[in-house]
Amino acid sequence: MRSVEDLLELHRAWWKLENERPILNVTYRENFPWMWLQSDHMHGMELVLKDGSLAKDGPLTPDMLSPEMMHPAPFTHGDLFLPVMPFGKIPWLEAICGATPQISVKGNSIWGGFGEGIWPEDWWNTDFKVRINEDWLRLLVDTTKYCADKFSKDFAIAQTSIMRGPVDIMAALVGDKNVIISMYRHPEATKQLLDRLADVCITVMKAQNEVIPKFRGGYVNCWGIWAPGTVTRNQEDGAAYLSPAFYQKFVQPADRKIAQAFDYTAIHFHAAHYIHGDAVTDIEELGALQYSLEPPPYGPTLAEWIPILKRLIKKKPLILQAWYLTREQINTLLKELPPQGLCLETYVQEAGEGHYIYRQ
Amino acid sequence: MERMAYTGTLGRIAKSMAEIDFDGTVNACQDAMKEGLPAAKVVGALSDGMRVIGERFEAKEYFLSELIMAGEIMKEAQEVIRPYFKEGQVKVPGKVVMGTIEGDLHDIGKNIVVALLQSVGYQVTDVGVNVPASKFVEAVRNVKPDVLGLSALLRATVPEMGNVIISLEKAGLRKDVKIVVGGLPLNEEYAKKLGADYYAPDAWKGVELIRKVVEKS
Repeated sequence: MRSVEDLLELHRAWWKLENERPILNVTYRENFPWMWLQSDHMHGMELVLKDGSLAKDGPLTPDMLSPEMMHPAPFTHGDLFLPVMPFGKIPWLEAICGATPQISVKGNSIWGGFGEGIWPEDWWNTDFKVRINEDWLRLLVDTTKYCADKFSKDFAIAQTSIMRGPVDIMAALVGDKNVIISMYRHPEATKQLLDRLADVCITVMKAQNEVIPKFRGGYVNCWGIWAPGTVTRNQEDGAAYLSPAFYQKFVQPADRKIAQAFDYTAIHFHAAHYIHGDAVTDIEELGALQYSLEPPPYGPTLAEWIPILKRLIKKKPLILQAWYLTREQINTLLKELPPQGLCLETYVQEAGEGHYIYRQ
Repeated sequence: MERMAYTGTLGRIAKSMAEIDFDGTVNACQDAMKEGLPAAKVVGALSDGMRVIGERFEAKEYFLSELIMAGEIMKEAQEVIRPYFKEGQVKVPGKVVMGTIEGDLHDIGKNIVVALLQSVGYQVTDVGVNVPASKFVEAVRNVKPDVLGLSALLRATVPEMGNVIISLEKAGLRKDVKIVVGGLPLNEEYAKKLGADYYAPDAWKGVELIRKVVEKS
């Protein structure tokens, strides 16, 4: 049976690797309406009956239902809260640091740092300073506050979803290639810049937190996981280009600084970042690691992932998101990984139906 | 360490290159020139270092960051040895037009291929990122390359590669150029469906493939 209190306890335990069942949000999208299934009811309905129990096989009569139980507030999906947050496609952090966002309708994206030729070829020789663009910061805070004022009655409010971290912002400001060159040739200047960008990240994250109301005594992150303290998340997509040694030398200190500034933090990585999992989970202050499990060739096969994830989940809670998994693959993950620290969010698609699915 | 073909100063060049040692490689190239070693041999030593880098990349000991830096070292080393080539000694092995298709701004893979091809003497026209089909057509018409390289990272933008190829057909230029497509969302089968001639699974293989295609043509 699910209640808000159940979810709070599940999430509280998850951060401590003490949850007895995983946090699940598995959507069976071939059915309508979509079903968001929670961990205690993997292959059944999510309908909550008037008495608070989940619907079981058998006849359904009106007296078994109530509007309040069918549509509980705050809104949830699966074992997660459904947060409202500022529009996530805007590259807020890059914009706040001075990279003008550019819209690409064809790419269905808004990019930070687009513009070949605008990047300084030798930023390390210039008086390169990161100044906060107050207009973008104010807009982000105002939007967060708007979300809070308008939706906090029925939803948890979270920070914006895609907050890129120091190495991504640096790439937006100086170009990917120059990030690498400066790591090799100007390591101290690079470390200082990443440190400054970590400070800006912290400022932006705290500015949002100031206008986000507490939710059941804590806060909810962009994935809908509640924590009994302040939360944040960042991502380091650009670290995918780096060797593990470079991640540790340049990026890990910046990620650690962000993790130290909040109570419950998480870093978002893509499948290509599997090589950095060990170094990230070595950050003692980090709350959790989130992997988007894009299938090969973006990253390892599911079979290759299993030993990596088994190793990492002993150290930190993992949020695993896959666009599509088969039921069999979901079962494999649930069988191979312990529930303690596991959060799995995916859409189910039967093998052969999806074109973006693990083949192995 | 992997077996290398050179000793002495040339060996130093190959080793520093393989170790992604920027200053070490450039200094060793300068020493080689001072010693009067033939420029062609220095190029051979650099290529030997690059061979090791490729092996380490395939063995997952090196990553994209190492390939990017290798391209930069090669560029600098070429600057050192270029004045020592005699007239007529420098041959352009081939011409390549490269770009990231419209809707996609990812350019790491493309930049690596561009840098590494340039470092071995190719004339590469980099048309940039988010490039519409018409710009590729214009570049192929003007440059008359041996190879057109199309790059993408986003699944959603890959069909645009097919549009580029159709546009080349409409312009009557398709038969004049070999097309190599590269990017993680692709595979051999998908590349063929799009109408490409070749598929490169990563930047390193892209460089090797383009060199082979040019040699064949």
